[in-house]
Amino acid sequence: MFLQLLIALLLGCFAGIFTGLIPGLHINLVAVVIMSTAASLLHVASPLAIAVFIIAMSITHTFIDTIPSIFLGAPNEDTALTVLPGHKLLLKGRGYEAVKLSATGSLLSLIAIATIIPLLLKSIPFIYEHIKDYIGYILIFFSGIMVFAEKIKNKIFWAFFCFITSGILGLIALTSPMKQPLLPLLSGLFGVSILLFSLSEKTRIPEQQITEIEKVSNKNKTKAVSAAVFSGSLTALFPGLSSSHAAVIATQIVGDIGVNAFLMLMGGINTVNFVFSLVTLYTIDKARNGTVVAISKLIEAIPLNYILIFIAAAVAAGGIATFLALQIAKSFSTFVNKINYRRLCLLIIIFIFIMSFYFSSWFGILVLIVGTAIGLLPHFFGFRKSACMGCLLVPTILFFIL
Amino acid sequence: MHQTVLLKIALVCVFVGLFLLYIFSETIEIDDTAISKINNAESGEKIKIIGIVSEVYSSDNAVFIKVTKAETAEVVVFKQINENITINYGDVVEIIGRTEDYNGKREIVADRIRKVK
Repeated sequence: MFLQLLIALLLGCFAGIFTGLIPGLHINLVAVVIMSTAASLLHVASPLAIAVFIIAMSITHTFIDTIPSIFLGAPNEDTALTVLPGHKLLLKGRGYEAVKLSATGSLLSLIAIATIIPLLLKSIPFIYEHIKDYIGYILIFFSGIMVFAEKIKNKIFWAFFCFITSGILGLIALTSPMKQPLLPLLSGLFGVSILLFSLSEKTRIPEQQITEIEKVSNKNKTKAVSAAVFSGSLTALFPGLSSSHAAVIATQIVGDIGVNAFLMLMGGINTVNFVFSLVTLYTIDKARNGTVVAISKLIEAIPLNYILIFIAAAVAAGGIATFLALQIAKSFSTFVNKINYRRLCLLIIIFIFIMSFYFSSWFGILVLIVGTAIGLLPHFFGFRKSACMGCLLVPTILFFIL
Repeated sequence: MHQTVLLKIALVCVFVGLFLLYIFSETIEIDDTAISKINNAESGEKIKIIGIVSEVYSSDNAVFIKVTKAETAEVVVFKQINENITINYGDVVEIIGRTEDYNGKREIVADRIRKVK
Protein backbone atom coordinates (compact mmCIF):
# COMPACT_ATOMS: atom_id res chain seq x y z
CA MET A 1 0.00 0.00 0.00
CA PHE A 2 2.85 2.42 0.85
CA LEU A 3 4.37 2.05 -2.61
CA GLN A 4 1.04 2.87 -4.24
CA LEU A 5 0.65 5.93 -2.02
CA LEU A 6 4.22 7.04 -2.75
CA ILE A 7 3.65 6.83 -6.52
CA ALA A 8 0.36 8.72 -6.12
CA LEU A 9 2.17 11.41 -4.09
CA LEU A 10 4.90 11.91 -6.70
CA LEU A 11 2.44 11.95 -9.59
CA GLY A 12 0.29 14.45 -7.68
CA CYS A 13 3.26 16.79 -7.18
CA PHE A 14 4.06 16.51 -10.89
CA ALA A 15 0.45 17.30 -11.87
CA GLY A 16 0.40 20.23 -9.42
CA ILE A 17 3.23 21.90 -11.38
CA PHE A 18 1.06 22.11 -14.50
CA THR A 19 -2.17 23.12 -12.76
CA GLY A 20 -0.30 25.75 -10.74
CA LEU A 21 1.46 27.24 -13.75
CA ILE A 22 -1.61 27.70 -15.93
CA PRO A 23 -2.52 31.39 -15.47
CA GLY A 24 -5.80 31.96 -13.68
CA LEU A 25 -6.60 28.27 -13.25
CA HIS A 26 -8.23 27.58 -9.88
CA ILE A 27 -7.74 24.19 -8.25
CA ASN A 28 -11.53 23.80 -8.02
CA LEU A 29 -11.64 23.58 -11.81
CA VAL A 30 -9.07 20.77 -11.66
CA ALA A 31 -11.25 19.06 -9.07
CA VAL A 32 -14.16 19.05 -11.52
CA VAL A 33 -11.96 17.28 -14.10
CA ILE A 34 -10.79 14.73 -11.52
CA MET A 35 -14.34 13.96 -10.40
CA SER A 36 -15.40 13.37 -13.99
CA THR A 37 -12.50 10.93 -14.54
CA ALA A 38 -12.65 9.26 -11.09
CA ALA A 39 -14.57 6.23 -12.36
CA SER A 40 -11.80 5.30 -14.81
CA LEU A 41 -9.04 6.14 -12.31
CA LEU A 42 -10.54 3.63 -9.84
CA HIS A 43 -9.61 0.82 -12.27
CA VAL A 44 -5.91 1.53 -11.80
CA ALA A 45 -5.69 2.81 -8.21
CA SER A 46 -7.47 2.57 -4.87
CA PRO A 47 -9.66 5.49 -3.68
CA LEU A 48 -7.06 6.21 -0.99
CA ALA A 49 -4.26 6.47 -3.57
CA ILE A 50 -6.38 8.80 -5.74
CA ALA A 51 -7.09 10.92 -2.65
CA VAL A 52 -3.34 11.15 -1.93
CA PHE A 53 -2.78 12.14 -5.59
CA ILE A 54 -5.36 14.93 -5.24
CA ILE A 55 -3.83 16.15 -1.97
CA ALA A 56 -0.27 16.21 -3.37
CA MET A 57 -1.51 18.02 -6.48
CA SER A 58 -3.49 20.59 -4.48
CA ILE A 59 -0.64 21.32 -2.06
CA THR A 60 1.86 21.68 -4.93
CA HIS A 61 -0.67 23.89 -6.72
CA THR A 62 -0.83 26.28 -3.71
CA PHE A 63 2.96 26.63 -3.82
CA ILE A 64 3.26 27.04 -7.59
CA ASP A 65 0.23 29.21 -8.44
CA THR A 66 1.93 32.32 -7.08
CA ILE A 67 4.44 32.12 -9.97
CA PRO A 68 2.01 33.13 -12.78
CA SER A 69 0.41 35.64 -10.36
CA ILE A 70 3.74 37.35 -9.67
CA PHE A 71 5.52 36.99 -13.01
CA LEU A 72 2.54 37.30 -15.34
CA GLY A 73 0.03 39.22 -13.19
CA ALA A 74 -2.58 36.53 -13.84
CA PRO A 75 -4.22 35.51 -10.55
CA ASN A 76 -6.89 33.09 -9.48
CA GLU A 77 -9.34 33.49 -6.60
CA ASP A 78 -6.72 32.50 -4.01
CA THR A 79 -3.82 34.55 -5.31
CA ALA A 80 -5.73 37.71 -6.23
CA LEU A 81 -4.16 39.83 -3.49
CA THR A 82 -0.70 38.39 -4.12
CA VAL A 83 -0.59 40.09 -7.51
CA LEU A 84 -0.01 43.67 -6.39
CA PRO A 85 2.78 43.17 -3.80
CA GLY A 86 4.31 40.40 -5.92
CA HIS A 87 4.23 42.65 -8.97
CA LYS A 88 5.91 45.45 -6.99
CA LEU A 89 8.81 43.14 -6.17
CA LEU A 90 8.94 41.92 -9.77
CA LEU A 91 9.33 45.51 -10.97
CA LYS A 92 12.24 45.89 -8.53
CA GLY A 93 13.91 42.81 -10.06
CA ARG A 94 12.88 40.64 -7.07
CA GLY A 95 10.27 38.36 -8.58
CA TYR A 96 12.17 35.25 -7.45
CA GLU A 97 12.27 36.59 -3.91
CA ALA A 98 8.51 37.15 -4.00
CA VAL A 99 7.97 33.48 -4.90
CA LYS A 100 10.48 32.43 -2.25
CA LEU A 101 8.65 34.47 0.40
CA SER A 102 5.33 32.92 -0.59
CA ALA A 103 6.82 29.40 -0.55
CA THR A 104 8.40 30.09 2.86
CA GLY A 105 5.04 31.21 4.23
CA SER A 106 3.33 28.15 2.74
CA LEU A 107 5.86 25.69 4.15
CA LEU A 108 6.07 27.21 7.64
CA SER A 109 2.29 27.50 7.88
CA LEU A 110 1.93 23.91 6.68
CA ILE A 111 4.23 22.74 9.48
CA ALA A 112 2.33 24.88 12.01
CA ILE A 113 -1.12 23.60 11.00
CA ALA A 114 0.08 19.98 10.86
CA THR A 115 1.44 20.35 14.40
CA ILE A 116 -1.88 21.53 15.85
CA ILE A 117 -4.03 18.94 14.05
CA PRO A 118 -4.78 16.94 17.28
CA LEU A 119 -6.10 20.14 18.90
CA LEU A 120 -8.19 20.97 15.81
CA LEU A 121 -9.75 17.51 15.69
CA LYS A 122 -11.13 18.09 19.18
CA SER A 123 -12.08 21.77 18.94
CA ILE A 124 -13.60 22.20 15.46
CA PRO A 125 -16.92 20.39 16.12
CA PHE A 126 -17.40 22.45 19.30
CA ILE A 127 -16.62 25.77 17.56
CA TYR A 128 -18.76 25.01 14.50
CA GLU A 129 -21.74 24.02 16.62
CA HIS A 130 -21.71 27.47 18.22
CA ILE A 131 -21.25 29.60 15.08
CA LYS A 132 -23.19 27.80 12.36
CA ASP A 133 -26.40 29.80 12.89
CA TYR A 134 -24.59 33.15 12.65
CA ILE A 135 -22.41 32.61 9.56
CA GLY A 136 -24.19 35.28 7.43
CA TYR A 137 -23.82 37.93 10.17
CA ILE A 138 -20.19 37.03 10.80
CA LEU A 139 -19.52 37.48 7.08
CA ILE A 140 -21.15 40.96 7.22
CA PHE A 141 -18.85 41.76 10.14
CA PHE A 142 -15.78 40.63 8.17
CA SER A 143 -16.94 42.68 5.14
CA GLY A 144 -17.27 45.73 7.39
CA ILE A 145 -13.71 45.19 8.62
CA MET A 146 -12.57 45.04 5.01
CA VAL A 147 -14.24 48.32 3.99
CA PHE A 148 -13.45 50.27 7.14
CA ALA A 149 -9.83 49.15 7.03
CA GLU A 150 -9.45 52.28 4.88
CA LYS A 151 -8.68 55.25 7.08
CA ILE A 152 -9.84 58.18 4.88
CA LYS A 153 -13.55 58.93 4.31
CA ASN A 154 -13.17 59.27 0.55
CA LYS A 155 -11.45 55.87 0.34
CA ILE A 156 -14.07 54.25 2.60
CA PHE A 157 -16.78 55.53 0.23
CA TRP A 158 -15.04 54.16 -2.87
CA ALA A 159 -14.18 50.87 -1.16
CA PHE A 160 -17.85 50.46 -0.20
CA PHE A 161 -18.96 51.39 -3.72
CA CYS A 162 -16.49 48.88 -5.19
CA PHE A 163 -17.61 46.19 -2.70
CA ILE A 164 -21.28 46.65 -3.61
CA THR A 165 -20.80 46.92 -7.40
CA SER A 166 -18.50 43.89 -7.49
CA GLY A 167 -21.07 42.12 -5.29
CA ILE A 168 -23.86 42.88 -7.77
CA LEU A 169 -21.65 41.70 -10.63
CA GLY A 170 -20.82 38.52 -8.69
CA LEU A 171 -24.49 37.92 -7.99
CA ILE A 172 -25.38 38.28 -11.67
CA ALA A 173 -22.48 36.09 -12.83
CA LEU A 174 -22.95 33.33 -10.25
CA THR A 175 -26.70 33.06 -10.72
CA SER A 176 -26.52 33.11 -14.53
CA PRO A 177 -26.49 29.89 -16.57
CA MET A 178 -22.94 30.78 -17.70
CA LYS A 179 -20.30 28.02 -17.41
CA GLN A 180 -17.22 28.70 -15.24
CA PRO A 181 -18.45 32.16 -14.06
CA LEU A 182 -15.45 32.62 -11.73
CA LEU A 183 -12.99 32.75 -14.62
CA PRO A 184 -14.21 36.00 -16.27
CA LEU A 185 -15.36 37.46 -12.94
CA LEU A 186 -12.02 37.14 -11.12
CA SER A 187 -9.88 37.66 -14.20
CA GLY A 188 -11.64 40.98 -14.81
CA LEU A 189 -11.57 42.23 -11.23
CA PHE A 190 -8.03 41.11 -10.45
CA GLY A 191 -6.19 40.12 -13.64
CA VAL A 192 -6.99 42.32 -16.64
CA SER A 193 -7.44 45.45 -14.48
CA ILE A 194 -3.90 45.12 -13.06
CA LEU A 195 -2.43 44.34 -16.47
CA LEU A 196 -4.18 47.37 -18.04
CA PHE A 197 -2.95 49.59 -15.25
CA SER A 198 0.59 48.26 -15.77
CA LEU A 199 0.28 49.02 -19.50
CA SER A 200 -0.78 52.61 -18.76
CA GLU A 201 2.31 53.04 -16.56
CA LYS A 202 4.64 51.93 -19.39
CA THR A 203 6.20 49.33 -17.13
CA ARG A 204 9.37 47.53 -18.12
CA ILE A 205 10.41 44.41 -16.21
CA PRO A 206 13.98 44.91 -15.01
CA GLU A 207 16.60 42.16 -14.96
CA GLN A 208 15.63 39.72 -12.23
CA GLN A 209 18.04 38.86 -9.44
CA ILE A 210 18.21 35.55 -7.62
CA THR A 211 18.59 37.25 -4.26
CA GLU A 212 19.24 35.96 -0.77
CA ILE A 213 18.30 39.30 0.77
CA GLU A 214 15.02 39.14 2.58
CA LYS A 215 13.91 41.92 4.87
CA VAL A 216 11.49 40.10 7.17
CA SER A 217 12.16 40.25 10.90
CA ASN A 218 11.58 37.12 12.99
CA LYS A 219 8.75 38.99 14.72
CA ASN A 220 6.97 39.66 11.41
CA LYS A 221 7.62 36.08 10.23
CA THR A 222 5.96 34.75 13.39
CA LYS A 223 3.07 37.20 12.94
CA ALA A 224 2.67 36.20 9.29
CA VAL A 225 2.64 32.46 9.98
CA SER A 226 0.36 32.61 13.03
CA ALA A 227 -2.03 34.97 11.22
CA ALA A 228 -1.98 32.66 8.19
CA VAL A 229 -2.92 29.69 10.39
CA PHE A 230 -5.70 31.62 12.13
CA SER A 231 -7.22 33.34 9.11
CA GLY A 232 -6.64 30.39 6.76
CA SER A 233 -8.63 28.31 9.26
CA LEU A 234 -11.49 30.84 9.10
CA THR A 235 -11.74 30.40 5.33
CA ALA A 236 -12.22 26.68 5.83
CA LEU A 237 -14.84 27.24 8.53
CA PHE A 238 -16.90 29.89 6.72
CA PRO A 239 -18.26 29.28 3.23
CA GLY A 240 -17.65 32.16 0.82
CA LEU A 241 -14.61 33.47 2.65
CA SER A 242 -11.65 33.34 0.28
CA SER A 243 -7.93 33.61 0.88
CA SER A 244 -8.17 37.30 0.05
CA HIS A 245 -10.70 37.88 2.86
CA ALA A 246 -8.46 35.92 5.18
CA ALA A 247 -5.56 38.21 4.24
CA VAL A 248 -7.62 41.32 5.04
CA ILE A 249 -8.73 39.87 8.38
CA ALA A 250 -5.17 38.81 9.14
CA THR A 251 -3.72 42.24 8.36
CA GLN A 252 -6.32 43.82 10.64
CA ILE A 253 -5.08 41.56 13.43
CA VAL A 254 -1.33 41.83 12.90
CA GLY A 255 -1.24 45.39 11.49
CA ASP A 256 1.22 46.54 8.84
CA ILE A 257 3.79 43.78 8.48
CA GLY A 258 5.30 45.00 5.20
CA VAL A 259 5.13 43.65 1.65
CA ASN A 260 7.54 40.75 2.26
CA ALA A 261 5.73 39.35 5.31
CA PHE A 262 2.41 39.93 3.52
CA LEU A 263 3.57 37.61 0.71
CA MET A 264 4.48 35.00 3.34
CA LEU A 265 1.05 35.47 4.87
CA MET A 266 -0.73 35.00 1.52
CA GLY A 267 1.28 31.88 0.68
CA GLY A 268 0.49 30.44 4.12
CA ILE A 269 -3.24 31.17 3.97
CA ASN A 270 -3.75 29.18 0.75
CA THR A 271 -1.94 26.13 2.12
CA VAL A 272 -3.61 26.29 5.54
CA ASN A 273 -7.01 26.63 3.88
CA PHE A 274 -6.50 23.32 2.07
CA VAL A 275 -5.19 21.35 5.07
CA PHE A 276 -7.87 22.79 7.35
CA SER A 277 -10.53 21.76 4.81
CA LEU A 278 -9.39 18.15 5.26
CA VAL A 279 -9.91 18.52 9.01
CA THR A 280 -13.39 20.05 8.61
CA LEU A 281 -14.30 17.19 6.28
CA TYR A 282 -13.45 14.68 9.02
CA THR A 283 -14.81 16.62 12.01
CA ILE A 284 -17.96 18.40 10.77
CA ASP A 285 -18.44 16.67 7.40
CA LYS A 286 -18.05 19.96 5.49
CA ALA A 287 -15.84 20.16 2.42
CA ARG A 288 -14.97 23.84 1.86
CA ASN A 289 -12.71 23.26 -1.10
CA GLY A 290 -13.36 21.73 -4.52
CA THR A 291 -10.63 19.13 -4.29
CA VAL A 292 -11.74 18.13 -0.78
CA VAL A 293 -15.25 17.66 -2.20
CA ALA A 294 -13.68 15.30 -4.78
CA ILE A 295 -12.02 13.33 -1.95
CA SER A 296 -15.30 13.13 -0.03
CA LYS A 297 -16.98 11.66 -3.13
CA LEU A 298 -14.23 9.04 -3.47
CA ILE A 299 -14.24 7.95 0.18
CA GLU A 300 -17.61 8.24 1.86
CA ALA A 301 -16.75 7.62 5.52
CA ILE A 302 -13.22 8.81 6.20
CA PRO A 303 -11.60 7.14 9.22
CA LEU A 304 -9.02 8.88 11.42
CA ASN A 305 -6.03 6.99 10.01
CA TYR A 306 -6.96 8.18 6.50
CA ILE A 307 -6.91 11.79 7.73
CA LEU A 308 -3.46 11.16 9.25
CA ILE A 309 -2.32 9.71 5.92
CA PHE A 310 -3.66 12.83 4.16
CA ILE A 311 -1.78 15.16 6.52
CA ALA A 312 1.44 13.14 6.14
CA ALA A 313 1.06 13.29 2.35
CA ALA A 314 0.44 17.05 2.55
CA VAL A 315 3.61 17.60 4.60
CA ALA A 316 5.74 15.52 2.20
CA ALA A 317 4.18 17.25 -0.83
CA GLY A 318 4.83 20.65 0.79
CA GLY A 319 8.52 19.82 1.10
CA ILE A 320 8.73 18.68 -2.54
CA ALA A 321 6.70 21.70 -3.72
CA THR A 322 9.15 24.11 -2.04
CA PHE A 323 12.00 22.74 -4.17
CA LEU A 324 9.81 22.87 -7.27
CA ALA A 325 8.58 26.44 -6.67
CA LEU A 326 12.14 27.78 -6.22
CA GLN A 327 13.45 25.98 -9.31
CA ILE A 328 10.58 27.10 -11.53
CA ALA A 329 10.80 30.69 -10.23
CA LYS A 330 14.53 30.69 -11.11
CA SER A 331 13.69 29.64 -14.68
CA PHE A 332 11.00 32.34 -14.92
CA SER A 333 13.46 34.94 -13.59
CA THR A 334 15.98 34.21 -16.33
CA PHE A 335 13.63 34.84 -19.24
CA VAL A 336 10.93 37.19 -17.96
CA ASN A 337 13.03 40.36 -18.48
CA LYS A 338 14.01 39.30 -21.99
CA ILE A 339 10.48 39.58 -23.23
CA ASN A 340 8.61 42.73 -24.10
CA TYR A 341 6.45 43.42 -21.05
CA ARG A 342 3.80 45.40 -22.94
CA ARG A 343 3.52 42.61 -25.48
CA LEU A 344 3.37 40.03 -22.68
CA CYS A 345 0.58 41.95 -20.90
CA LEU A 346 -1.37 42.26 -24.15
CA LEU A 347 -0.88 38.55 -24.89
CA ILE A 348 -2.11 37.59 -21.41
CA ILE A 349 -5.11 39.92 -21.76
CA ILE A 350 -5.93 38.32 -25.14
CA PHE A 351 -5.41 34.85 -23.60
CA ILE A 352 -7.80 35.70 -20.74
CA PHE A 353 -10.39 36.99 -23.25
CA ILE A 354 -10.09 33.81 -25.35
CA MET A 355 -10.36 31.58 -22.26
CA SER A 356 -13.38 33.55 -21.00
CA PHE A 357 -15.08 33.28 -24.39
CA TYR A 358 -14.23 29.56 -24.66
CA PHE A 359 -15.60 28.69 -21.22
CA SER A 360 -18.27 31.35 -20.68
CA SER A 361 -19.21 32.66 -24.15
CA TRP A 362 -20.31 36.27 -24.85
CA PHE A 363 -21.83 36.74 -21.41
CA GLY A 364 -18.43 35.85 -19.95
CA ILE A 365 -16.83 38.58 -22.08
CA LEU A 366 -19.39 41.09 -20.76
CA VAL A 367 -18.65 40.06 -17.15
CA LEU A 368 -14.93 40.31 -17.89
CA ILE A 369 -15.25 43.87 -19.23
CA VAL A 370 -17.47 45.11 -16.37
CA GLY A 371 -15.20 43.32 -13.86
CA THR A 372 -12.16 45.04 -15.37
CA ALA A 373 -13.85 48.44 -15.06
CA ILE A 374 -14.66 47.82 -11.38
CA GLY A 375 -11.20 46.35 -10.81
CA LEU A 376 -9.58 49.57 -12.03
CA LEU A 377 -11.28 51.64 -9.26
CA PRO A 378 -8.78 50.68 -6.48
CA HIS A 379 -5.91 51.76 -8.76
CA PHE A 380 -7.47 55.16 -9.46
CA PHE A 381 -8.71 55.94 -5.94
CA GLY A 382 -5.96 54.22 -3.94
CA PHE A 383 -7.98 51.87 -1.73
CA ARG A 384 -7.38 48.15 -1.14
CA LYS A 385 -8.07 45.77 -3.97
CA SER A 386 -9.69 43.33 -1.52
CA ALA A 387 -12.91 45.43 -1.75
CA CYS A 388 -13.44 43.68 -5.10
CA MET A 389 -13.94 40.42 -3.17
CA GLY A 390 -17.51 41.64 -2.66
CA CYS A 391 -18.10 39.61 -5.83
CA LEU A 392 -18.04 36.44 -3.69
CA LEU A 393 -18.97 37.82 -0.27
CA VAL A 394 -22.24 39.55 -1.24
CA PRO A 395 -23.76 36.42 -2.87
CA THR A 396 -22.66 34.26 0.09
CA ILE A 397 -24.10 36.69 2.68
CA LEU A 398 -27.40 36.85 0.81
CA PHE A 399 -27.50 33.04 0.62
CA PHE A 400 -27.20 32.74 4.40
CA ILE A 401 -29.44 35.64 5.41
CA LEU A 402 -32.32 35.38 2.94
CA MET B 1 15.06 33.14 5.66
CA HIS B 2 18.21 31.96 3.97
CA GLN B 3 17.51 29.71 1.00
CA THR B 4 19.63 26.82 2.33
CA VAL B 5 17.71 26.87 5.63
CA LEU B 6 14.41 26.86 3.73
CA LEU B 7 15.53 23.91 1.61
CA LYS B 8 16.73 22.02 4.70
CA ILE B 9 13.32 22.50 6.34
CA ALA B 10 11.68 21.35 3.08
CA LEU B 11 13.88 18.24 3.02
CA VAL B 12 12.99 17.40 6.64
CA CYS B 13 9.29 17.79 5.70
CA VAL B 14 9.72 15.33 2.82
CA PHE B 15 11.36 12.70 5.05
CA VAL B 16 9.03 13.18 8.03
CA GLY B 17 5.99 13.18 5.72
CA LEU B 18 7.08 10.00 3.95
CA PHE B 19 7.94 8.29 7.25
CA LEU B 20 4.52 9.12 8.69
CA LEU B 21 2.88 8.07 5.43
CA TYR B 22 4.59 4.68 5.75
CA ILE B 23 3.61 4.29 9.43
CA PHE B 24 -0.03 5.27 8.89
CA SER B 25 -0.38 3.24 5.69
CA GLU B 26 0.50 0.14 7.76
CA THR B 27 -2.52 0.81 9.97
CA ILE B 28 -5.01 0.54 7.13
CA GLU B 29 -7.46 -2.23 7.82
CA ILE B 30 -9.18 -3.91 4.94
CA ASP B 31 -12.86 -4.58 5.64
CA ASP B 32 -14.05 -8.14 6.09
CA THR B 33 -15.52 -9.07 2.70
CA ALA B 34 -18.69 -11.08 2.16
CA ILE B 35 -17.96 -14.21 0.06
CA SER B 36 -20.73 -13.34 -2.38
CA LYS B 37 -18.89 -10.08 -3.08
CA ILE B 38 -15.69 -11.98 -3.89
CA ASN B 39 -17.30 -13.57 -6.92
CA ASN B 40 -18.35 -10.16 -8.24
CA ALA B 41 -15.06 -8.42 -7.44
CA GLU B 42 -12.47 -7.48 -10.06
CA SER B 43 -9.74 -10.10 -10.40
CA GLY B 44 -6.72 -8.94 -8.39
CA GLU B 45 -8.80 -6.88 -5.94
CA LYS B 46 -7.48 -6.88 -2.37
CA ILE B 47 -9.88 -8.50 0.13
CA LYS B 48 -10.03 -9.77 3.72
CA ILE B 49 -12.22 -12.61 4.99
CA ILE B 50 -12.66 -14.16 8.41
CA GLY B 51 -14.27 -17.61 8.52
CA ILE B 52 -14.08 -21.23 9.66
CA VAL B 53 -11.83 -23.70 7.84
CA SER B 54 -14.16 -26.40 6.52
CA GLU B 55 -11.72 -28.36 4.30
CA VAL B 56 -7.92 -28.63 4.12
CA TYR B 57 -5.88 -30.23 1.31
CA SER B 58 -2.08 -29.92 1.19
CA SER B 59 0.21 -30.29 -1.86
CA ASP B 60 4.01 -29.80 -2.14
CA ASN B 61 3.82 -26.06 -2.71
CA ALA B 62 0.51 -24.92 -1.30
CA VAL B 63 -2.28 -25.60 1.11
CA PHE B 64 -5.81 -25.46 -0.34
CA ILE B 65 -8.51 -24.65 2.17
CA LYS B 66 -12.19 -23.95 2.14
CA VAL B 67 -13.25 -21.10 4.40
CA THR B 68 -16.87 -20.94 5.37
CA LYS B 69 -18.84 -17.94 6.55
CA ALA B 70 -22.43 -18.06 5.43
CA GLU B 71 -20.96 -19.27 2.10
CA THR B 72 -17.72 -21.01 1.16
CA ALA B 73 -14.65 -19.54 -0.53
CA GLU B 74 -11.69 -21.41 -2.06
CA VAL B 75 -8.36 -20.15 -0.69
CA VAL B 76 -4.81 -21.00 -1.82
CA VAL B 77 -2.08 -20.44 0.76
CA PHE B 78 1.41 -20.71 -0.74
CA LYS B 79 3.78 -22.34 1.70
CA GLN B 80 6.86 -20.24 0.91
CA ILE B 81 4.94 -17.06 1.83
CA ASN B 82 3.18 -18.45 4.92
CA GLU B 83 5.77 -20.93 6.27
CA ASN B 84 4.94 -21.06 9.95
CA ILE B 85 1.23 -21.72 9.97
CA THR B 86 -0.58 -25.01 10.43
CA ILE B 87 -4.18 -24.93 9.36
CA ASN B 88 -6.69 -27.43 10.69
CA TYR B 89 -10.34 -28.12 10.14
CA GLY B 90 -12.43 -25.91 12.44
CA ASP B 91 -9.85 -23.13 12.80
CA VAL B 92 -11.22 -19.60 12.51
CA VAL B 93 -8.84 -17.77 10.21
CA GLU B 94 -8.37 -14.24 8.90
CA ILE B 95 -7.12 -14.09 5.35
CA ILE B 96 -5.86 -11.08 3.44
CA GLY B 97 -5.30 -11.77 -0.22
CA ARG B 98 -6.35 -11.19 -3.78
CA THR B 99 -9.09 -12.67 -5.89
CA GLU B 100 -7.89 -14.71 -8.85
CA ASP B 101 -9.51 -16.89 -11.49
CA TYR B 102 -8.05 -20.40 -11.87
CA ASN B 103 -9.55 -22.98 -14.25
CA GLY B 104 -12.64 -20.81 -14.54
CA LYS B 105 -13.16 -20.75 -10.78
CA ARG B 106 -12.89 -17.72 -8.51
CA GLU B 107 -10.44 -18.28 -5.65
CA ILE B 108 -8.46 -16.24 -3.16
CA VAL B 109 -4.67 -16.32 -3.16
CA ALA B 110 -3.64 -15.52 0.42
CA ASP B 111 -0.96 -12.89 1.01
CA ARG B 112 -1.33 -13.29 4.78
CA ILE B 113 -3.21 -15.77 6.95
CA ARG B 114 -3.56 -15.86 10.73
CA LYS B 115 -5.64 -17.82 13.19
CA VAL B 116 -8.23 -15.71 14.97
CA LYS B 117 -9.17 -18.55 17.41
